[in-house]
Amino acid sequence: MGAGRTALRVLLAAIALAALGPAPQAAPLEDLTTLPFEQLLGSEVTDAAQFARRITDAASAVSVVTAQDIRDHGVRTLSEALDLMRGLHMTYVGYAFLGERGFGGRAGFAGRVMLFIDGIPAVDNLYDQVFLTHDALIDVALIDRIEYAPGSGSALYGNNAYLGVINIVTKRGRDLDGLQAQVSGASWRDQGTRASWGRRLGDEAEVLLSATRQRDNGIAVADAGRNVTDPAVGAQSEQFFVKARWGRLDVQGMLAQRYVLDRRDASSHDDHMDRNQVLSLNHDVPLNDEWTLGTRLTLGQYGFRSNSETETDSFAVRQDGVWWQLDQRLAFSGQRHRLALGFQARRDPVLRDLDTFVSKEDGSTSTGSWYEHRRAVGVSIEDEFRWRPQWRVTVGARWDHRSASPSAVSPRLALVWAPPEGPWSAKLSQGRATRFASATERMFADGESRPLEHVTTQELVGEYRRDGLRALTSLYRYRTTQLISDAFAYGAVRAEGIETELEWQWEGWRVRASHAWQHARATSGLPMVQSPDRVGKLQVSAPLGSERWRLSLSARTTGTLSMPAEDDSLIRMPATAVLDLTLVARSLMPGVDVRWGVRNATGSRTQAMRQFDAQPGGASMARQWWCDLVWSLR
Amino acid sequence: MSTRWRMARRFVRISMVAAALCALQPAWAQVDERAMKAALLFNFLQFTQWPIPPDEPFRLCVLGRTPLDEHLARLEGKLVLGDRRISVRHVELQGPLAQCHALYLDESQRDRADEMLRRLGNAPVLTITDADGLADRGLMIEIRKRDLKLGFDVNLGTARRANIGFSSRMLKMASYVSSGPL
Repeated sequence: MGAGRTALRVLLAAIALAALGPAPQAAPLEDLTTLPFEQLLGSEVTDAAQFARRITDAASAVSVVTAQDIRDHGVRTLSEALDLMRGLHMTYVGYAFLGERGFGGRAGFAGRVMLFIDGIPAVDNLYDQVFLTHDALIDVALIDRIEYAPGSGSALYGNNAYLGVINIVTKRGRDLDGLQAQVSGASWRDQGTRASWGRRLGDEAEVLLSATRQRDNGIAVADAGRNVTDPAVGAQSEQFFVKARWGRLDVQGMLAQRYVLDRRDASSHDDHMDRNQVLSLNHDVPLNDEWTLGTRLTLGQYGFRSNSETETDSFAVRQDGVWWQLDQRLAFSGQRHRLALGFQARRDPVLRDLDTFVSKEDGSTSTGSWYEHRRAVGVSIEDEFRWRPQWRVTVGARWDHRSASPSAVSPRLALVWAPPEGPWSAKLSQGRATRFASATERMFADGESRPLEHVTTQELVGEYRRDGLRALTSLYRYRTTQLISDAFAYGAVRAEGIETELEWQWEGWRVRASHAWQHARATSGLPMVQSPDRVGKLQVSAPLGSERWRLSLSARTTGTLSMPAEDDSLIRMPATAVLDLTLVARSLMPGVDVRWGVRNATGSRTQAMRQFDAQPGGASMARQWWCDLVWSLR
Repeated sequence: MSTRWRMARRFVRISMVAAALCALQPAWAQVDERAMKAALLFNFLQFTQWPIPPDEPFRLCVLGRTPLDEHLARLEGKLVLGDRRISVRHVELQGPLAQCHALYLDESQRDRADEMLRRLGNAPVLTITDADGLADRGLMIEIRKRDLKLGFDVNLGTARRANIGFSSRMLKMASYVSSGPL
């Protein structure tokens, strides 16, 4: 493509020119202490090596992606951010699905990872699905950090925290401190706009407001393949975000909706829409120096609409889920103990599916409906006991009860050795997590009861940190009871694996490499779908002359995997390797940052998918050029 | 090909040419972030008033080991407040924290911030951090990075309770001055 070659040449020229510029001048400390205070504050600094801190309290191998990673690697969706993390892999089959430690993709695995945004559960209550592209409740531009804690988290977080927990912390009003506007454009008809405003309004109040609109060709990410290129197919997404603090009260509202319209034939269409919205109120009160009481009320709603029409018939699906949840946390923080008591009451008053089929040939109409409501309650307790400066043990358990289901207890035990002076640390953990069948799994069961699903996880993590070097190794073993799966009768699953990660930071360079070997097998002998035996990641980010210019590279390899085809037969997909490049220019003009990037820079054409099913030889990944501009007015 | 798509391609090409031209500008002088933090910390000491003038030497304490250690060590022996020489000391939470004149806590010690503040009470010790959000929790100065520069927030309420004052010149340069923790 001529435009692509021109753009590539100009991009390379820009990189070369930036790289040829003089190296940044690092003034010695003796000079700096003699400079006037005002001059110090007006000077630009190079990034210091600093490994991202973790806020997730888990004894597993937690991965962190920060706003800096999001900016420098040109991350535009939550799925792309998670795809930077060790051992995780994404598959795109209509929606983006997260794969972890041998469990991946659709076929029901969506409901086995919990997602929190600022502590607010962000999972729909019909499919228990996490939305990770432009249908997500959050625009990645508003994210301060993402943490992924693999392993059973049910002892603390309850249902869904079965194979892992994703914690997202969003930016605060002070992080924007004014108005911010973003426009982006990319090949394959991708374009987006965002407007955000945030400010600290005195000691008591802080506000952040944001609205995002995105249009694309029906597939939100470049990795999903580019088979849908017909101009008659398109999608539009909208995300709205409000976060406000008034004293000790936090209010947060999030709404995301995505329409995909497929009008390829004059006589037929196939459209669908997802909408998620959540409103949360949180209040934290310190009772004294050691005890804190927190209360959170969350209201959520999910809606799915689908309308398909052919020359002979039409089919409409209308699904709705409404829920509210009250969480109370009583926390004690003493010299040796950190105790957390939790209580949760939840109600899902609306879980509904209405299907209408109309035959144009004989004019007949048939409808199907399913309706349910449910209640749930959970109680948790966890104590972290530090008996030596370098040793601590965590013991916890959670009891969950849900209407029309048996009760479940999820225990957790962790032992951590971490000398304050470092550089070595080790964590050993064992836990058991419970998963209740999702509403749609109960719906598809046609009245038959669904057993609970349990997983027992064991993990040993060793970590080394010194100066700019961090190395981590994790060995894990998972054992599940019979999995709930409508598509495949897996039976129980055993999975084990080894993950290694190496991170190095020096003079503005940041390098992170990881490799995960994983092996999951079902007792039924069926191969696990979307379960590659290895996942490799490499991220390199380097300043070009100064911190004003930065070039980043992100490479991902995924081993061979099985994908379900339209008839639920399995297709073996070849291994993939994808390379993304991003060039960031900061303060190109006052308040203006610009990013250019190319996804799948090598034009790898190894993986193929259709909109909802695997199909070798059909679609292929394509190179995608993109550019965005962020203007900040403070 | 749609008009919108042609415009998008033109936008990408024009922006890349603009970037290439901008790349011709000389690289900006930038300094090491850690050295800059240590220099800012040195300046904070110059613009702070203690209820009783600190005795000799001026004890600048550092909680645990931090990535700034190498740069803070270079402040050893420098003069502050006219004729006081700085003595850099690494301390533990269980140590006599109230004997410090200033105490620096970094991101790696975040979990110990509340316990540290409890131990200090209203002792006249200037507390400084570069850990995000700790000024809200009661530390007196928080160094923050915004875009490519460093700034700082001041928790004036906590400082006043410890009878510590700051010069108006320093407060004027702060990104935000709050009256205290909630």
